[in-house]
Amino acid sequence: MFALVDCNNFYVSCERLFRPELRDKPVVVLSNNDGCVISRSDEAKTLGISMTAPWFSIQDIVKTHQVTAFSSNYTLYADMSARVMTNLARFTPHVEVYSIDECFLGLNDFKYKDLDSYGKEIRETVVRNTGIPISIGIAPSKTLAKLANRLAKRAQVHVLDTAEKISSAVNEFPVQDIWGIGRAYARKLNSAGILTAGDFRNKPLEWVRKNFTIQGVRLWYELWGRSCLPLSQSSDRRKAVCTSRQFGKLTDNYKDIEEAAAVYTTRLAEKLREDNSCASLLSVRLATNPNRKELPQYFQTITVPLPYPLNNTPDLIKYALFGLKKIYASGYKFSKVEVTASGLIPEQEIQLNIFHPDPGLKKNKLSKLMDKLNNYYGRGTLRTAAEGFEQAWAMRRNYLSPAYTTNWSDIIKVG
Amino acid sequence: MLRKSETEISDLEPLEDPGKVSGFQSPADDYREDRLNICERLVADSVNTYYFESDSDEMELFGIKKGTVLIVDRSLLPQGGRLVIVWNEGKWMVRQLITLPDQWLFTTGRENEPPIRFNEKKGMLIWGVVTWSCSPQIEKKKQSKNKKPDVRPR
Repeated sequence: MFALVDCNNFYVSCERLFRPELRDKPVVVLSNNDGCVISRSDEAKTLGISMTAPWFSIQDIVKTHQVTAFSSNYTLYADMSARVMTNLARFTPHVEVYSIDECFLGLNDFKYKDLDSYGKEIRETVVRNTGIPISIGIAPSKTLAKLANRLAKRAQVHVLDTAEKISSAVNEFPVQDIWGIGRAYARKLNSAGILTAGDFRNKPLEWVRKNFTIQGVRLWYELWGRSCLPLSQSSDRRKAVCTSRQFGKLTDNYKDIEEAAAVYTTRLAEKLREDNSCASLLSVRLATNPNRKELPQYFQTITVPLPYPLNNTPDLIKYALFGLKKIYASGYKFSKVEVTASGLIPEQEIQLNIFHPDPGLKKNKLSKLMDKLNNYYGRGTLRTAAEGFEQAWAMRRNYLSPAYTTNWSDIIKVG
Repeated sequence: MLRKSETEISDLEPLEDPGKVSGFQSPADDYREDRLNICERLVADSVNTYYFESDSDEMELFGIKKGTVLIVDRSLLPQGGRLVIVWNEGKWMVRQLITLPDQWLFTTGRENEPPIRFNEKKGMLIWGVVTWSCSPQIEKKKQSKNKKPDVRPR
């Protein structure tokens, strides 16, 4: 048996934990740069605010109904997510953290336990310890657990443990809402007269084999309660690492763009060192805002081959800015710069380049020391000058909440 | 997505391993144990621990003054006699919980001060249980007036 645990309105729930007065009020969390809505409280959903609604377009609703908005505070969400996941992992040795707010649990070791009451116990513990509301779906396969979770929203724990419960659930479940069914797949199924998950699994396996790929066959088995998708441990070594952010405002100032590129490259280098990887290729992409059709458009990417695989900040910045200079063109209002590292090689397996006797080992060491200092004293304590000081281009975060759990100066004061 | 363990101060010391010798092997090698770390005493369950800070002397009788750091464990149940973090009408406070058969009260322990009655309907909330309070005994250096820049990732 599998459980799929999902944090309800996760980002909003994190904000509310430290602002109890917002418990029954409409709240939304905005994407990076305060662009659009990415998390809504139930009250905000009721007001008709849709997911990914642009922030500027809902100003009227916000004013009339006093909706509270937050800029995304990923520092807080990451810490709260870790707290939820760690609490969950205390209930079973088989855990797959699926995303920042979803987690699969393997419950095969608990054959003799009543899973409904175990689910409730898990839920109560997590809600008490973290303050984040969760819902749990329990079923014999991951696909059915995900489906049960959708049905759990009201009851909070939903168990599909008998053939009858499963068939009455799948017979009413729209086929396009099944986990892993994309829009194209859904259209194909609908045109074949398949509207619910039950319709799909009632087709003979031969028909599924003929018309769909192996994924379709797996799905068919999973819907019959035969697990084909095991829990996967954390994903394999990344193949490429990318950092990009939109600018707070459009800019044609080369110095601003250079600073932004340096900041993202710094973050990229940190990610590489966390993974103990080195990059052999570095790409820089510069783009204008495609939604501003009245402005001249420009998109350009350059890939710089690095002389030897490396992950130290100063060298990566040097090559990123070299690439940026090549593709920059004046006269455009840019909205975004993106830096990607690819050709990743484990740190231990670097081959030396005969034409570059110094593979930057000293600088790699220096960067690791910078990481330690920044880890202890707070990110950004030690920086390269290329990152600039004013960062006029920085992303908009007008409604940012404090880092209640990760910064000593942000902890709550009590009377 | 699990958070990495925090950097220890000793990671930043110039001497990486003071026990590593170049000459005679240390006779103490087999007897080394980790140095005491106060977190082991103060934080029973770091995953469910949060920190608050007192900005008043209201709870003086419990040794809590302005500047006292409160260690709060959400996994513990509020029980009579325990100190709890309370959210009451828009204000955060720390109080002792008194459980009577018919009602729960929050008190500062001062005789002339009436306790506050716990009322969930008014939106009152017990947020967590205080496990330790840590008070500085050396005067804090005056912090510079300039606000510390926000150095979180952008």
